[in-house]
Amino acid sequence: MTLVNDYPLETTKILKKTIQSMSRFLMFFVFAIIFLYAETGFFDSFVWIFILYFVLIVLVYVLLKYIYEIYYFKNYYYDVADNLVIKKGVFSRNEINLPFSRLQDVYVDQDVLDRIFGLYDVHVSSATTISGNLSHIDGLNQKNAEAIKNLLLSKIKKEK
Amino acid sequence: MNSYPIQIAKRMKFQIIFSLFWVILLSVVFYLIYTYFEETNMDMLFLGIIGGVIVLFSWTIIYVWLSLKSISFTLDNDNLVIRGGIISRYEKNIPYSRVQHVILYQGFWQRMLKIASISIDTARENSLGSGQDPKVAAIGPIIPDLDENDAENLKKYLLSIINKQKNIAGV
Repeated sequence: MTLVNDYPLETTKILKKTIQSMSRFLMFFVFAIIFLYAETGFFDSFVWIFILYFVLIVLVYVLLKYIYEIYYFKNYYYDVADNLVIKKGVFSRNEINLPFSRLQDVYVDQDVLDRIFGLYDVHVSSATTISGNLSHIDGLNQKNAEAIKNLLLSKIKKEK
Repeated sequence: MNSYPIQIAKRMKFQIIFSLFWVILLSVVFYLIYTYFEETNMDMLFLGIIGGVIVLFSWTIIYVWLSLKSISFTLDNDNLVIRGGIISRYEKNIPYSRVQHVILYQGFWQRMLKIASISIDTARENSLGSGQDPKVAAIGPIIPDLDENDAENLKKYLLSIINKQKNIAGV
């Protein structure tokens, strides 16, 4: 009956996070193509070999990142027993425990890619600066996000 | 706390093996580069670089050892007290009623070694408003390199005390 079982993350999150990290490559790739065309007009076969190698490297990177994100997804754990517990991480494990009496606010948001995939992000914050980065549950659908948000708010209300 | 000792021995064994590995690896790499260039006046440079690398790693090992030895913590009735510092000593007193979160962290190597770090924090800023030593202020209260199970138990114990002590002034 843990929270992660009742209100699980969406598997589309894996795809979203992989695409998110690719966006940097994409920018560079587009500029590189434009530059190469302007300089050589693509007549030089050397340019094509370079592009091929680059694409291969990117594909390998994407594959590895995708596998990493799958494990990240599997290891993501959250629950609301006595405190809010969020555990995540593949190589290095990170676990944050937040007592409800110390929670300051709960908010739900979406970044650009989240909107495309229909994912929501539930953040809580306490009175520290770093908790904002660690204590969030992202990759939920709207129903689950609302449910978790309301659950957290009612837990906070109980702890006067 | 005597029942939750910091695993200095494990950490030091790891540091030494890790450093040795890197010293050997870097030496081999530099040696290959050096023989590729075939210039005899690079002799001193090569030895200098290797010597520098060895000194760097030795210094890190000694520093890690000294700083881990210097850390001690106790659980009072109202506060967690963390003491440490090699040359300049610090003592952090953290009232349970002000603790905002308890973090249990295991870096990649810590997972291999079965050790973990606990860090708790209060509503402080990272800036040096009150004239603290910058290094001490930046890290925040942390108890590094505890045994995995000890860290888990300490975390549970801390959370139970924190939940009993209601926060005052809503923070």
